[in-house]
Amino acid sequence: MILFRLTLKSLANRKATVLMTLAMLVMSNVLLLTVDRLRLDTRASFANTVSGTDLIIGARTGSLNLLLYSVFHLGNATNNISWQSYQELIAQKEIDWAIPISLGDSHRGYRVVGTDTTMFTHYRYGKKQNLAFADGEAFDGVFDVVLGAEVAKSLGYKVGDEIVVAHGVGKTSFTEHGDKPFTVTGILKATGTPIDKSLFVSLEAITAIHVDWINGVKLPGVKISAEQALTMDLQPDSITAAMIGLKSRMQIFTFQRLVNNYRAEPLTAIIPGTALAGLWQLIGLAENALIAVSVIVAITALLGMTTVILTSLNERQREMAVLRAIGLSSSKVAALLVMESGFYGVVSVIAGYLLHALSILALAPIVQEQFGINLSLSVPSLALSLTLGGFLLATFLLGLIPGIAAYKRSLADGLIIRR
Amino acid sequence: MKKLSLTAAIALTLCTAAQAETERQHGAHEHGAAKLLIAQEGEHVEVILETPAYNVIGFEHMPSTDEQLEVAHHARHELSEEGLKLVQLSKSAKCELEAVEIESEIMDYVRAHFHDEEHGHEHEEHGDHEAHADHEDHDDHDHDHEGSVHSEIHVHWAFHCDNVAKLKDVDVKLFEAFPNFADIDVEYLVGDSSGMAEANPKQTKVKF
Repeated sequence: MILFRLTLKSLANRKATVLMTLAMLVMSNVLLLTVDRLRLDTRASFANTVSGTDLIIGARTGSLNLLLYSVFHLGNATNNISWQSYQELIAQKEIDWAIPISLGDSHRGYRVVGTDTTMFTHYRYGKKQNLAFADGEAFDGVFDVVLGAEVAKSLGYKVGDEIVVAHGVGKTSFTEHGDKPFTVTGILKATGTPIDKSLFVSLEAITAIHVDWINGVKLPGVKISAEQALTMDLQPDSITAAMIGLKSRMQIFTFQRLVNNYRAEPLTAIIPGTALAGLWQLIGLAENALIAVSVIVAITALLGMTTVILTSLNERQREMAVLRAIGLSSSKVAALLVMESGFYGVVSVIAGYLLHALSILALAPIVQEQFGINLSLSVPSLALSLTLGGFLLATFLLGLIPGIAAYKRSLADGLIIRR
Repeated sequence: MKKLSLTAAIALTLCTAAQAETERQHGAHEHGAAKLLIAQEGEHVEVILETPAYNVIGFEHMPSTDEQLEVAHHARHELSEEGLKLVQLSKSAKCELEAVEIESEIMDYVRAHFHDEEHGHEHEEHGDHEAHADHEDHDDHDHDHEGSVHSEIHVHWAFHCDNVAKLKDVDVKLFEAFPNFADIDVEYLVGDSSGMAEANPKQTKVKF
């Protein structure tokens, strides 16, 4: 115990060096913890979004592609699937529910999703939760819109407001469907998924706002008012993708095969979990590189710490000599240095975790808004705990280097500094 | 000779054209690679193997020599009888093989061949092609058979596991029985987890 107090006293005497060394070690720990947290939370956020969906059906494309554009609104659809194929497929007896998705329009940078009310009754995310309304209710009429939590919050909309949908998906679009405004009928509760950043309208609405458009361009001179549009046949020709729930899980693979071999139209069906696993396999390389970098940073910090303690030995020659003179054995002097090194380790791990926690708390809202990833605070994963344990052990072991050096010197050195 | 092959080529073209005007879709076909699909619901676990015939028997046509027949016969026996050994589900899950179904024209041919020879010595299986076609639900399924040529083998194993909660992994022993397998994509829907992992002769175990 006396040794420990001595260590603290000695450290207190060299505050500036100690703080800088600690800062270096703490930062390396923060990096390790945060990289791992980001990795796990990104995976969890993606998995949560599709946790309740058995299959996603879209045009023939790569499975990752389909997953990313249909659910995560990353990238754009290669092709649409015809309404007829969709109807034929969802008429199969294996189907429990189906949610059509039609993309292509936006509102001030947020995607507008054409769908039907099954979205609000059957879409499930996270731990099999359904969507819930914070205010209002599902769309009913053609020109009704339901907003995701994030959209309503950042644009300050409330139920009853009128909004205009823009053509295309850019942040600033000059071609707006201004003649056909929408009324907000409901606002969803936050889900932590891309749902929050979307606006939902009926499939008929998507058709309606495009009735006087051909090939993406508004027809000059042709003006069809919202009232006129309502009287037209608004059944869509095609949709972008569909999320499907089957009655039994055992049918998923068979139904997937049926869709993939669908002869009338080239289609792709993917199992979200499997497609995600493929994504992680791909991203795993980059993740490993990040982890490798943070481990190397930790090693560099450890080496830096050892250097600092070794260098300090010269300055502390007199301190050591005094300790020896008042009766501290050589091995105790060595233990003193191992303890100092270990002290750096313990304090930096604890402070690292605290700083990591603070930065997660501070960054979580921003990351959620920008990237849709829910950062969470939790205990480090097993692999990371082992890494941190290894880090701690390393600080004690590395303490042996200056420890042994001091042990050898303290036998020979006297009170007088020889030059 | 030249004339003959030309005629044959034309005949072939006409034949395919007649079969299906629009069907020019082809599934991927990669030797060595295969898919193993595992789905669990309640105490039932279904395992589906989708593979090019090459991986199992080393050739992709109707067996023509006695040797090829023998190889195919042996492979068929392995697939239909040794499901538990080829696909080892976690021991503590206590799984038992309930039914096997083999979809393959080559295997059907082999079965028929030995069936005749041995006067029904070989026992009847649930995976009979004719019987299967009868209870087809989707007409597309039938097309699928023609579409996937003769070279694909699909095996369905139905397991019953008493202790499903302990079903945590699968050890793919297909590599040992059939050395032509190089890598198998294992897709699984078990418990709360769904995903995909690759198994190969060095890494045969896949955790769910």
